[in-house]
Amino acid sequence: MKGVLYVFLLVGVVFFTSCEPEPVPVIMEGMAAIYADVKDYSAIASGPAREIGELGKIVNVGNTLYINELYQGIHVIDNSDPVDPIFTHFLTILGNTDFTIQGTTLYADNGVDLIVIDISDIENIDVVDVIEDQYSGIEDPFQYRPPNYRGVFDCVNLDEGFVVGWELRTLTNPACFAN
Amino acid sequence: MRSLIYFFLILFTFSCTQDSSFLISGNSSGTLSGSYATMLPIDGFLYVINETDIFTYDIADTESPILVDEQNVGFEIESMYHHEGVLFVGSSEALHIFVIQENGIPLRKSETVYNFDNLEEWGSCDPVVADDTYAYVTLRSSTQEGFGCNAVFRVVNELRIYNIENLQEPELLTIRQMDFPKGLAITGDYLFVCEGNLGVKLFDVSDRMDPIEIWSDEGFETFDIILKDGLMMVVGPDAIRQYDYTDINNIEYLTAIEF
Repeated sequence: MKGVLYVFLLVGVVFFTSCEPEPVPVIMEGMAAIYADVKDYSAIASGPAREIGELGKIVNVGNTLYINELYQGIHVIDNSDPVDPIFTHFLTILGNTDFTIQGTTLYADNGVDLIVIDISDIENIDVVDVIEDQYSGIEDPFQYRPPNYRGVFDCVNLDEGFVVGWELRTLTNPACFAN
Repeated sequence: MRSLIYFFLILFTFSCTQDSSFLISGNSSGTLSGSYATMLPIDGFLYVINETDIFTYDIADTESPILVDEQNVGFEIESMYHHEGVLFVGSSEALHIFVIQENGIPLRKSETVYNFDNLEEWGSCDPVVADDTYAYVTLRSSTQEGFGCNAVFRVVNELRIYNIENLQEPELLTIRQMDFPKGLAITGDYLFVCEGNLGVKLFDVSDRMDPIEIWSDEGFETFDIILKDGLMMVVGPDAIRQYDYTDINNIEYLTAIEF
């Protein structure tokens, strides 16, 4: 809170000491949210294995491991030989942090809804049902501030979409501060 | 007729085999989950928790879930674990125990408040696992007493073991101080605990009043764990490590899954 005040003060100082009639914008490095339209279910798809980001929840079915990458989707790993596991696919489900599997049906969240996905053909997964607004989404601090970060950031505007990541950017008049 | 008997015998044997292997995992659908699970498929039903409630979906048709029940559990609901028809729901403030009725709907048996000396608790992550007799909980949180300059902060890092023979009145057996406890898994008298950036630890809990650390692998970050018939999968933010624990006294590191 104090941080936010400092930013406002800084803006104020720049404003009042300026000879220009217009306020001079404060430009500085800080974090900004990456938004996604998680309700675009057509974006849910199976693709080739890819590099892992920050991992989340894990599920094992038979010799296959499924592991969430926070807010991005699910890595599929053939673990028939635990000494030499092989990444086979990545299922893109933006906003995803929770999931489970029954038979060939994947139940996964997108931060807001519970999505039912037929994964019997892992190359061509298919959204077969959506239970809308299973989650409020608002309890997740990730939606409000960058995790493990101290400094200024662009305040989140949830009207722009669901926050699926944070990145360092050059910000104009950032009004939020994490300490 | 005889072949029919054989058929049922085989069927029975098969289901028994499945059951015994699931004792390790605490799940009954062939799907093994970590201790931070928030969705569990159990016997034709899908249980889903959000921040406050538990939802029961009939998934007889797996592709068309039908909501059959929703009930309030409490605040900051975080994880769910299943063992033999009993659902354990972990929240930041309490251990909630439900029995799954024949119609699939959970029936509340108890709510055991962790009660940190009446301190306000926040920011915790508190998963639970269980067997027939005991529940194991890790608590990791900061607490604050008072406000402003008078505020006293305390960090809680604990492993708690409860006797749950009476599901309606879990009895706290022991509290063991930990460093940074997160996900956990139980097999018989052995309890695996992820210790944040201190790797993974194994405790001999044959004396539930006095868990003894008998093994650890440190130097990397972990938060959850799955046991599968002698294969241990430990998840951290940047890798999945696997171990062979068939011989509990000689745990063998297999591999780290990194892309």
